Amino acid sequence: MSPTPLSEWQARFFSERVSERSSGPEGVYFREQVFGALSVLSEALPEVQSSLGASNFRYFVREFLSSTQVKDALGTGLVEPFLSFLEDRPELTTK
Amino acid sequence: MTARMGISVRREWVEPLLATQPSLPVLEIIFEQWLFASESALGQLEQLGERYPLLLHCLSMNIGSCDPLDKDYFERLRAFADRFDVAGISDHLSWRSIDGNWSLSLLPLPRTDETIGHLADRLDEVQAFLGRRIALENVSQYLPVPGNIPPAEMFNQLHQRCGTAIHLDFNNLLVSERWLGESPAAFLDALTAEIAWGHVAGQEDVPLPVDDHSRRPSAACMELLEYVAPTAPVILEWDRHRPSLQELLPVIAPKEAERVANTLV
Repeated sequence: MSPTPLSEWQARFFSERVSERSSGPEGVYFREQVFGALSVLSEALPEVQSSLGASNFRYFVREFLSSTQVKDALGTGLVEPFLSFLEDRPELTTK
Repeated sequence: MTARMGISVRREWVEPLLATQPSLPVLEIIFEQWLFASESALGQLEQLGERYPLLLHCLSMNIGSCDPLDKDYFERLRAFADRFDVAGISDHLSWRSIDGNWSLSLLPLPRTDETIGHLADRLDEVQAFLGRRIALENVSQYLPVPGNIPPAEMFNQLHQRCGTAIHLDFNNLLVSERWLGESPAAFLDALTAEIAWGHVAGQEDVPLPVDDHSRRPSAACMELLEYVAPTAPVILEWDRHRPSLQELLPVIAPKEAERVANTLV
């Protein structure tokens, strides 16, 4: 399917507003993305959240989302990649 | 309070609802919260459906996206709607994915003729597949978008072209006003689309509020509701910092809450 002005706008909006971390009002949709991922991952991995602590868990999720795209509507596909991310970044657990 | 008010059911309220059976005109359920539920949980939902009309609210139709519609999702939705004989189906005037990458929140759409044409094509396909008309909710909008079609006019045109009603969220109008300065009264005065049902909710009162359904509706939200006085039912949403059903009921049905409390003594 060839791109339309709407699809091009959506791709740009997603890249600049959802995927890219930024602060202030412009970063609201990235923060919503983090919040959504936090909801999914804390529900799926309560023992991981508990062992890391809530604020560390939040930090890791934000870091994780900076390099990962959500590939399903419910975000449940994030669970396994998040566990791999934690395994690959042992230095994070010392923060 | 003149509106007929119900609640958007969360899973922990199902058993108390079945046990106390408060007199409410309608309940809303979120499709995605039941999509992979156990047969035992779905059995409880069937019991609720025998007692209350159920309105089905969805989060993942992705109706405004330029990605293809998800056939599997809509097949599950149609089967679910048929099984529970729901009184209405809604989602949002928004989009959530592009090129297979998903947002976990609802994203705003440009207010252009191209967007309306795109939405109308997808709505025709979805409504034909489901065998019924749906409603679309006005989302909280945090950032400006291109286009100069007034927000209410987007809904009016979709209603004219596709018969799609609005699922009118009063709180979202207030949240968008805080971020973008758009007048809720102007929206409501310009709205001619049929109202399928309404939403009220609340959040922390900060300069730039986020629609997280974490508090009871504000006085301003209830004033907007009174301003419209819809004949369609209105649903209270509460997600973060959720109260028990006993604490929730007084917000929408004080007399019924008292009766339910007495049955629990």
